[in-house]
Amino acid sequence: MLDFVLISILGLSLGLFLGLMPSMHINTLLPLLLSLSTFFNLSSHHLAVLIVSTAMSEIFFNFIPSIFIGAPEEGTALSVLPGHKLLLEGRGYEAIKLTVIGSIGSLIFTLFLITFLSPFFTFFYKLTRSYIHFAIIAVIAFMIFSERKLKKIIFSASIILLSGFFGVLVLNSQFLPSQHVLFPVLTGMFGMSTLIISFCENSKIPEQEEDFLLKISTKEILKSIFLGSVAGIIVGFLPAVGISEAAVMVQYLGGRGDARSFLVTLSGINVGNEVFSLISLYLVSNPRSGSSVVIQRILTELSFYDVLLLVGAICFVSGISALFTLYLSKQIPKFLVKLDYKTLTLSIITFICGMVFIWTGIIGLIILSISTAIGLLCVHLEVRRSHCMGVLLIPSILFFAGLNSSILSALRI
Amino acid sequence: MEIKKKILLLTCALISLVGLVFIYFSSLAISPVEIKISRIDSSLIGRLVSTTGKISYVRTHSAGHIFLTLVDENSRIEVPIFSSLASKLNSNGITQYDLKKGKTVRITGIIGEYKGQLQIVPRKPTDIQILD
Repeated sequence: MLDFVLISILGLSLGLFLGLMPSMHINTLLPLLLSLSTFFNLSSHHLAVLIVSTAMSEIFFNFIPSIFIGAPEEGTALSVLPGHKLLLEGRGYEAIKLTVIGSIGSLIFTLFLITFLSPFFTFFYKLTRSYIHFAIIAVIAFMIFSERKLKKIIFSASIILLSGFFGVLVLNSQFLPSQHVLFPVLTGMFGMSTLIISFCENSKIPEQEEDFLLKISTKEILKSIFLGSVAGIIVGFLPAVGISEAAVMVQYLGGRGDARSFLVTLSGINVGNEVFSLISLYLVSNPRSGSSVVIQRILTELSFYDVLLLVGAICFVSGISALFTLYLSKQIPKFLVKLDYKTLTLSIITFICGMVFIWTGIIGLIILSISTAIGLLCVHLEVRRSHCMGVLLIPSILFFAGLNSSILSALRI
Repeated sequence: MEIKKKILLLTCALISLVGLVFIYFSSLAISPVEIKISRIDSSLIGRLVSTTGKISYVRTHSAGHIFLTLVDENSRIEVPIFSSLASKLNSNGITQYDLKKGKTVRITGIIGEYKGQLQIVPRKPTDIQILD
């Protein structure tokens, strides 16, 4: 047992590093973990525990750079805007606390939901596969018409189409390896555009309040955890629907306009998705994340006890990661407020550009510039930046409607 | 509000503790029990065990499955290696031709029953080790 606990702690340390470093993700580290496991002669179970511990703790820690410096991963991209809003109100600590509450609440709730609903998953999985593109079309229509004014409806439809066309081009062409392509795209649309606006507006990080007061009711927290967990499970087994798409759907369909409830929901989706994508290996043999693909490969057939071990590792590292995230979110602002925000923003912009160049080269920098421009266009046109999610939604519709190859042929990609 | 903070901290600690309990019980079930072929009976169905014996019979199915019969002093057990696993044996440095009559092998797998006969079902390439 001690070996599994030690491996979990090692995974937690790796998750801390990956979570705090903008541009780093468990998928980036998986090939290295696989080769190191051979070197250290780790068993399949040890390796599986190491991977889930790393993936789970990364989710908790990743909200820190997303909220404090606006440098997100795919799952946290939409947290930048509400998180940044709270940070500028001096409520960055509260923003992190909300993500911790959302993550922990969703972990508990997702495990309960899975326990009771597991007999129906296989049936539901087969049933919904054919209709997913209609659901995404409905969400897009809702996103556009929720802008209400005709001028804004036209602008938001244009942004979704523009982002969608951009998504079709970058996701289907061979510009970049598929595992790296989303980094410049989402960082540009949500992170870089926020950083550029902050830089131009001379905004600064105000003194951060350290109190535990949450300016959100318990009822609202529970509602957001429920929505996050359910959406996380849906992401976990529906093809094409990613964390960002689910967050957009919940935001619009559930009327989750408030920054605080959105942060709880988004963190809930991240955790619900990670937990379910692992358990779906056992329930429907359907790996839905990079880490679950590797786990399926190394454990082949998952038994009940394999799943129990992985859930144990998830719970163990989640509790510790939550406490550690709360601790770090108290310490980091003390350091950040001492810095000149303009210098800090410029350093982060330089760092992100550097990381994009290292991972994706000149092509990545071009993609970053275009996606930043689309993000800034939303601000200029005064429409919601979540319309930029057309970059993933439109390609998903084409793929599931079976139109992908025709469109690609027409575009000669 | 101070109570909420304590509740959150307690919940986190409790979740980690529950995680440790899960790890404890699953690690007991996951670690294979080292057992002689003669000691394997139906009470072990579903348990992960390791056993060592000599291959007394090998049959290859047209679908790619390999069926071994393993014996020790006076007992025998069937070892089905299904095609999904058989095709991956190379990754453990084993070829289909290494599994021949007379070879001593160590098999780790889950005890099951098929047509009234007990069998040990290996799950991954490293579950099969050739000892000589």
